[in-house]
Amino acid sequence: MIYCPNCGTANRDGSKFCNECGYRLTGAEGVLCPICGAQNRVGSVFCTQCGSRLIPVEAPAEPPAPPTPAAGEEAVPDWLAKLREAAQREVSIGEEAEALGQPEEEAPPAGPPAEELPQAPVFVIEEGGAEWAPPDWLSELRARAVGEPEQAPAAPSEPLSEASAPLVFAEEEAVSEVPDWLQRLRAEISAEEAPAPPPTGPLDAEAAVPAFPEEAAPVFPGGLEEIPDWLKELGPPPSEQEVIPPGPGVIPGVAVEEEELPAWLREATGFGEAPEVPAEGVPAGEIPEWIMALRPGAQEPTIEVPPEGYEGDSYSEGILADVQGLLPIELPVAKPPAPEETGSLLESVPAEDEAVQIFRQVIESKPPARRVPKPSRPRIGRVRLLGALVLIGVICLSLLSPGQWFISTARAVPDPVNAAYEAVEELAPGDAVVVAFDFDPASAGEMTPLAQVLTEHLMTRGARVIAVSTLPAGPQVAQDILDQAAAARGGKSYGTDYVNLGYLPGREAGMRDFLLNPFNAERRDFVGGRPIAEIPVLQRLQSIQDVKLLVIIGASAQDVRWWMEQAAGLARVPMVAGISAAAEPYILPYYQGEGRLLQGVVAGVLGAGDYGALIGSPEPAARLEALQWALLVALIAMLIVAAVSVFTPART
Amino acid sequence: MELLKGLDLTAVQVWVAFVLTLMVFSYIFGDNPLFRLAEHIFVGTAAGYVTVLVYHTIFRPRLLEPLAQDPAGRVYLLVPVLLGLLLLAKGKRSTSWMGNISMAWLFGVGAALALGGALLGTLASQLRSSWVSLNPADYAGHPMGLINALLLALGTIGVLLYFYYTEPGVKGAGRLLAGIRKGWGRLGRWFMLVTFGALFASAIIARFTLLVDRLHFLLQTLGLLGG
Repeated sequence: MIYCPNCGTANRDGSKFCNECGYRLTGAEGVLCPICGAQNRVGSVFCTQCGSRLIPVEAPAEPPAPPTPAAGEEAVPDWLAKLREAAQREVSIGEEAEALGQPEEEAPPAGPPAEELPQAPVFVIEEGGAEWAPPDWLSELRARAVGEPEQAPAAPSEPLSEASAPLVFAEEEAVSEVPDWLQRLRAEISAEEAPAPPPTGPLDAEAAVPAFPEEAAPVFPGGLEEIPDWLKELGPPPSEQEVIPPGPGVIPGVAVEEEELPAWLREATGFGEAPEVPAEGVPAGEIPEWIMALRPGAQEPTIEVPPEGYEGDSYSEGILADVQGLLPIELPVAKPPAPEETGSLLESVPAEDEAVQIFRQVIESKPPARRVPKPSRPRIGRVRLLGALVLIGVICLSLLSPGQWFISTARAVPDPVNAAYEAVEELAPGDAVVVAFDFDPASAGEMTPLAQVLTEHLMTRGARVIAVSTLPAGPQVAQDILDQAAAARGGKSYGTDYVNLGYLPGREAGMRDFLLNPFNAERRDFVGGRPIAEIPVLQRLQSIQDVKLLVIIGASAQDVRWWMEQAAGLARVPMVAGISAAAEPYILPYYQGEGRLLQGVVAGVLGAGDYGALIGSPEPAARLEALQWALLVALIAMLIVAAVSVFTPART
Repeated sequence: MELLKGLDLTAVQVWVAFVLTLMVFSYIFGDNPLFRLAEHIFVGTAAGYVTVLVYHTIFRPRLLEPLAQDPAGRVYLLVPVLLGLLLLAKGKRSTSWMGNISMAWLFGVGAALALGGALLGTLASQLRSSWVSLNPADYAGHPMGLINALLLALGTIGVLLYFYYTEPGVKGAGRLLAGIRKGWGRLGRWFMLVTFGALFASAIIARFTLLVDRLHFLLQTLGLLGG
């Protein structure tokens, strides 16, 4: 059975032409290669050009099913079909040449030695008559072909095939029809196959060179007798006229080494290729559809829209108008497909669509106007409110009805208060006393009773009271207290018995400045702004040494300490402090001990009450009673809270 | 102003103070606009009062009038004026460095005065007051004086030992001294606790005194105290 290399139709053994397409199955001198179309000698097992097997190897039991003509048409690539057509045409030309009396036997059987070959053969083309020098690569190929006579048989055992000469002769006639690469291929074939002496004559002389020197060496030089046993066992020896059909990649029953075949042949025939096995773990049938949709071939073809104004091969407008034979400027195929086209091909799961819709709604929907809760005011604890009301009620009751609540304000006057009282008592009438009112309205509730009893006592003793303050708001507070004390004791007037020098800026610096030069001529009084020289109470006073007592009435322990510290280094002036209850622990140590700076200390309302009791002023005593009640209520409240906290289990 | 001269604003002042006091007391029910208003009024009037006071007691009598009377002889008064103007440069970041001169002057003088006064007025006097006699013969007839002296000595040394962190040793006398130091230090710690309690109690008394004064003022304004 001979399979047509053109259409694959099975033909009877010995057929010279295909029953289906009329393709020449065998040449006059050999067998056409079904792969490359080259002419091989009769009996050749492999093609001399491409290495394809020419003798079919058939399993006796299972002959290969002939491919359908349609399938054969599709399997043959265009280049091969063209090549076959060219070969067929050359065969016809060869036949014509044979008819003209140019037998192939005229070709020399073997070429001369390589050293005799000219390095640069010169060909003379009959038509043009000009000399043509073959390129170097062709010369090398020719030299190599000529230099391999030992490998090739010295002389072909059979005459050259009919097609070998037409292949060469067609060089001149079909040069305009055959593409360049085929011409180069022919030239290369001619160079390799022709061990003939360098042609010096016209190009026709080259036709005498056998195109396929390998054909001179039969595959089985000894004839069919030399066919190996294993091949004989496969079946009857193939006829010399048989043509090997284009088989698939794997030839059953024949172990052909893969290295024996060229790469392009293995690729073309599929020889040695592994069977198509789906990727491990990912069967082909399980590929998601969305991936299949993304394949380039799966996308919709791009609509080719010609550029604007392009009509066929010219433009009707623009600078290229009326110029024929133009290509469109922009290739529509370069345009990427529209996103909608690609997106439409994607398929998603309904659950995903639902999720996408929900996500889109969330993104596109406006956030609802959330009402930000206003920070609520801290809730007033009932215990806190109740405690405050009880405390206020007790104080008010104590103030409204003093001496009615079984609590006595009579107590032993502490030593610091007694010492302060004694210090004032030692003053003589007319002695100058500086009183520092270092408190402001913020602490006047506590300090005012204390300052009142002290100033009243000073005025009672007839001392000249000189008021100052290191706080901006102090002078006005001092003025109010002095006026009240003067009114209480009667007969005392501003300027004559007491004066207010006002604010001393600079805190420690102001204190030190006053102690260094208390009666500076530039000082003015607080009330009228009069100069010191015009104030009678300040007459005959030159320095701090003329002052007999320094009374410091301060709400802050820091202010009192600054006065004491500055005065201790500048003047040996006796000092008495009237301080807030909060400052008592800090100031009291200055009264005690050998190095004490204070002659006496009167602290808070308690001290004011004690001092008021000494000078006979009832005002502080009433407040003292209320304060004691308040402290008693606070003590009880703290005890209750402590008891509750002790017996209440801690929250976890 | 001429109309106001003939009016006695004492009653108005008292009632304004009465209302403002109640507004401040409204804080018992939590923060509220009345309390905020009274707070802002107090801050505003205090700032305005201080400004006027500083002008009348410092700028006019100590700067403007002397310069007006004898400008050539009182040029030195411009030095504190310049220093004061430099303090205004602290309001802008790029020029705040100019105010550093005045700030350095203020801090330098203040630190020197505080240090000198503390050494002479506080440290020396406290050391002398802490140097007490523990001889009972010196307190004949005054047993509380002896007790006070003992408490003073125990408390002072105990507090000092409480802040002594170095261990003298773990053997022999060192171990004994470590035990004494640790025990006496614990006693000093209790002295400190009592001191802190006294400080807190004093602060409570001071605040209660202010409450009593305000309530006394309210009752007096309402005529309930007869005075």
